Amino acid sequence: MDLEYKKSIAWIRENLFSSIPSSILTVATSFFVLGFFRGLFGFAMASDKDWLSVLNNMQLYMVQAYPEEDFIRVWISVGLALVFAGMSIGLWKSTEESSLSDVFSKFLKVSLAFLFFTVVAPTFSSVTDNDGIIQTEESFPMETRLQLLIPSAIFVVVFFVLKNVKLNYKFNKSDLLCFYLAIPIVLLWIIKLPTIQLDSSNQRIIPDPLMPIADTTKIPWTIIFGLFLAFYFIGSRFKDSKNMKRTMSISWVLLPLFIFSWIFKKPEIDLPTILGQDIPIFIGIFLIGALTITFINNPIVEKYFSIYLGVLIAITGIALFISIPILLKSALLLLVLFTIVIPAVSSSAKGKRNLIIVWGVSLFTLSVLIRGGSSDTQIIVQQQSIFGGFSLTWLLAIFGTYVSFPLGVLLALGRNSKLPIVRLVCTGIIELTRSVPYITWLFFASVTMAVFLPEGVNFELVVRVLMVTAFFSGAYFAENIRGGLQSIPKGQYEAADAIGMSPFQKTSLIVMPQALRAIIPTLVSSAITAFKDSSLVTIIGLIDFLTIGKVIIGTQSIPVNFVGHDRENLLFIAFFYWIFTFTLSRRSMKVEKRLGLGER
Amino acid sequence: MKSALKYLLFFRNVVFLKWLSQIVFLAGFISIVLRYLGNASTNFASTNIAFSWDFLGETPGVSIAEGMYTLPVSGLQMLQVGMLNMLRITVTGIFAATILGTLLGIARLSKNYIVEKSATGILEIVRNVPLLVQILFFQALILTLPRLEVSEIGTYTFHASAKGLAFPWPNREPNAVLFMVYFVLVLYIANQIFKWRVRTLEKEGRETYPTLWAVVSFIVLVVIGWYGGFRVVGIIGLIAGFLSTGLESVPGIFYQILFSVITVFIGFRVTKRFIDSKKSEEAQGIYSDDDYFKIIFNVVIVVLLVFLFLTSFGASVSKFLVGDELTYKADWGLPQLFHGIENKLYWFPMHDVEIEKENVEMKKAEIINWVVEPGSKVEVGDKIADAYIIRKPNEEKIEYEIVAKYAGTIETLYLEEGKSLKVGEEFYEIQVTEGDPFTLSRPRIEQTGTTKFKRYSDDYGKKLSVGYFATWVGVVLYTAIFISEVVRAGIMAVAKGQSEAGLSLGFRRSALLRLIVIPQAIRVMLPPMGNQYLNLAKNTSLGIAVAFPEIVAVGQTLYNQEGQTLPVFIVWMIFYSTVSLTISSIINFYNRKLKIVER
Repeated sequence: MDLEYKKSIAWIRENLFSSIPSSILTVATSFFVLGFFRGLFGFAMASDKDWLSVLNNMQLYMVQAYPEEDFIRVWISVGLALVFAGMSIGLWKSTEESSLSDVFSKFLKVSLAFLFFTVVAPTFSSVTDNDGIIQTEESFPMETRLQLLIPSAIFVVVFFVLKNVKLNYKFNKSDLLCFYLAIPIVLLWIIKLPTIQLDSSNQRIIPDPLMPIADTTKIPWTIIFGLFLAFYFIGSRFKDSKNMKRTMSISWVLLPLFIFSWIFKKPEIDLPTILGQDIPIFIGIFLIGALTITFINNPIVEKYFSIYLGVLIAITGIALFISIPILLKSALLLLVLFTIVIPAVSSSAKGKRNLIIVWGVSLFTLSVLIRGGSSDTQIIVQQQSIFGGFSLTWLLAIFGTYVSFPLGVLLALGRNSKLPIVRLVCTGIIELTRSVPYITWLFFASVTMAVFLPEGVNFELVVRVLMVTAFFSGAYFAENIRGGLQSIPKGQYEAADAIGMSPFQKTSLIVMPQALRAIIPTLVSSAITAFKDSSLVTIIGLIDFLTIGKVIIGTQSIPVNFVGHDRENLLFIAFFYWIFTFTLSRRSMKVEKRLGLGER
Repeated sequence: MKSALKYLLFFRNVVFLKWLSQIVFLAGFISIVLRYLGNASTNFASTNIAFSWDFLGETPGVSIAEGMYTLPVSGLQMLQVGMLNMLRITVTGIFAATILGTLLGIARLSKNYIVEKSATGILEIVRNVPLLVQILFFQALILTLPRLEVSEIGTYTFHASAKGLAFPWPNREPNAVLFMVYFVLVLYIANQIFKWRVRTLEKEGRETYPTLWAVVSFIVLVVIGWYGGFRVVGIIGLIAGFLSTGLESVPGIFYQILFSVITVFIGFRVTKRFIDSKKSEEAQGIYSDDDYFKIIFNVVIVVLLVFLFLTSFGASVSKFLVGDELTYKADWGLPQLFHGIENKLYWFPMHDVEIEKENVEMKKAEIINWVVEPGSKVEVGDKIADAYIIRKPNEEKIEYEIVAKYAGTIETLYLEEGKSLKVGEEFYEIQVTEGDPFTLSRPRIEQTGTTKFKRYSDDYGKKLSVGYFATWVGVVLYTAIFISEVVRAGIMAVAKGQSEAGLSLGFRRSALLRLIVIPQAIRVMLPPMGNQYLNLAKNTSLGIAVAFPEIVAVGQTLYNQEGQTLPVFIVWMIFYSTVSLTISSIINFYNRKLKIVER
């Protein structure tokens, strides 16, 4: 004990008071940090803040005007995402273990933070009234402080002791994660939160009564958590199966598309169209692809393959500009992409069979998604779109990334091309797009774009914003990908040339995989930027997460008056965004480490 | 025979196919662009809003909350205010963000535990929250301050309220531009003196006190300048005057032909150099088909450009150079620009004097009779004219005297006797001969008209509006965080042996950082730093969310007035591209300069 004490004294001397300037800096910074936290706590606890304006409007924040009778769809979406998460955590189960003292040190940290809060939080906070007079009021009385201080101090002591008693139990890290996730679920059933109650004359009853959390919240969450656990165990059963992992990765990519086009949207299912139009298109296109795969090694087919491909590309190019079902257009596009890839795949019978299965599955998925996405929704909302609040923020972030990524790849390849005119055009597009801030492109979508569309064609504002977002982040992705392309040594190109690869094979099999692997960190940070930038749509009047807090709740007077409570909402919004981006960037750092990037 | 076959089978020729595919690509691209432009023209025709630039010359009839002109007389002037507001944030923001970011970056490398952790904490908070949310939060924070109406009318040293912040500031007088140019000149001279002394030191090996020389000469020159020496730079105004007259006297077709000739000349030079390069020993005068295509392509481009210059595009460019009705109205053509420089930078600058508010209820003024005439000399406080104060509600008239605000020679009288003008509009021009360039003043709170509202006076001290403050703080903090990462990476990129070598030579820590580490780190830091500056410039557009009238917000107001969305979008694009290009070329310039020092 004596030795530890000496150690910590030495640490403090070395890291905080190594020299006079360093000591001054330490004191000054501690002063500022304490001041910051005291200000923050005082701000949060002042009596003119109404945190119920946040708590009471959670539904609005998440789905805005989505009708309550269709909430089961929202729960299914959340549930699917969590089930997928459980499955993935199980599949990629961590091999690391942590000891019991690690767990207790985590609890110790939480209770220390709580202790810090109870000690530092100011007793008095100031409120400026309408006459500009600053009034001081007691917002955190001593009795309350003591009531909180004693238990938190006890917790700190208990966890400190438990941490230092060397208990030799080890837990798997993934199992521990599930345990941590169970804590909020248990809390859902235990804690009571203040709620707003109105009396007969529609006036708010003060003080707000404490109520247990509503069944409509805690029961779905509990069921979802149960499923999460179940799939976690199923996933850990299959953790050695490579196919399962591959399927899971692809499912993750498709999940948001599926949620937005089928579950959240509730498309109108029109049987005659499906039978008379979709199924024939599916069968027709599928057969063309399957026949091409089957007969690719036939000498006659091989000879005229490039002509066939050219004709196919020409037909698709024309098809894009005439009015035919959108399913046919996208199926043709997929067919072209597939046909380009076919010669690169092995010619064994098994390889062909696998390729036909992959072709069928991807065409089927595309058809399902297009049918769901292009049908009208049956959910009736009063607002401009069924997407609002956090669902809109997600929609913008995810779809922006989805569409812009392939666009970015194309533009980057164009900019890196040896053909001067192609290079010039692509460079022009990228630079012009990037030179202007995102907000001006949003204005372009909201007011100018209609000018360029043919008469009679009109898209919803959300769709126009999605188009513009895809283009804008595509240009940024293109620059990132170009960086990756430049990092590839020349020898790789030359080696590909030496074994007689076609330019397409060279790009798709040698260059792109390496380039994309090298820029995963940049791509993640671009995706984070896209997520953060999605908040700008509030300026052009779309109702996203930020708009809800800043505009809608800030001016809400029915049933409860929340006018002027936009500061607490802004803090909440900042916190919410922070949680997502922080977690994402931390995860990407871990992935980066696991891939060994930057260490080659 | 063989070569003949080669050209006969042109469709199997790789070069031919390569260029054919490119031309097809270009044709496809242009046809898509044309198709959408065609859509646009039919849509314009059907909605009766023709695409036109006329709104640039028309009076928009809206006021702007802050900026150079709050009552712009033309659309172009309005956009100009927005541009200047945007540049104000960008330029000051770049400096502030660089300083703050460098400090944070160094703090993150500090050995002091608490300093390092706090810097990391700030980084993780600011980086992971959308900038718009931060800006809105800073706005909300300022709006919690007491309302201005609760403060007494009077003069303050510092004042903060829900209307913004106010502090003392040297306000510009008519001579200010002259002095600022002089100041830049003095900075340059002091820098040259410093370099000269350093050169002497290096050559002769004796102590030459470069810093002392530079500082003393700088102070002496500034003091001389303040007491009238700044009028030396009036020569710029003189030259600008000649240029403006010269430009106006040249017909527009001259420029069209000049541009065409220059294009042909450059095209010829480029092609000739290309052909010459083929004559070198290596190439042995052999032309591949690719080379022929390149030459043909060059010729085609030159012909296209000449065609463009000789038709309407060239005509509109030359209008900008020579000046026509539109550019005159908007004060935007090149002759007007030089004319403006002449007015501002002549030995004795010209100044347009605005009608000032005599009392709170005054809306307009009417001149009864002028006491002075063009050419007469006036001192500060001399009577210039008899006039009426006109109050809006009942057009009640009260007689009063207008006195001279500046000493100088009256140049032009804009307002005829018996005519009236709104407060804030210019009514005579004076050539200012005396007066300090700047006057320091403290902010003052005054009543807004006859209402119960109050405001900070425009002429005293400096006021930061809520929008400006929120945008500035938000953008600077956000960029500083990213710059701190750049700085940290840059410093870490300097090999450890460098600082160890410095320490073993007996450098102090500060000198080590200043003379060894930072110069090497800057090389790594500059390109990503430039990217952050570009982001800062683009992020200022978020000012629109807090009602700060920068270019995007002003553009939006303008198209809401006039319905011309497409031209406004084009203006945005041109403006932001210009700013981006300027920033990146400055960064590239320094980048190149540092590289030359290296090797």
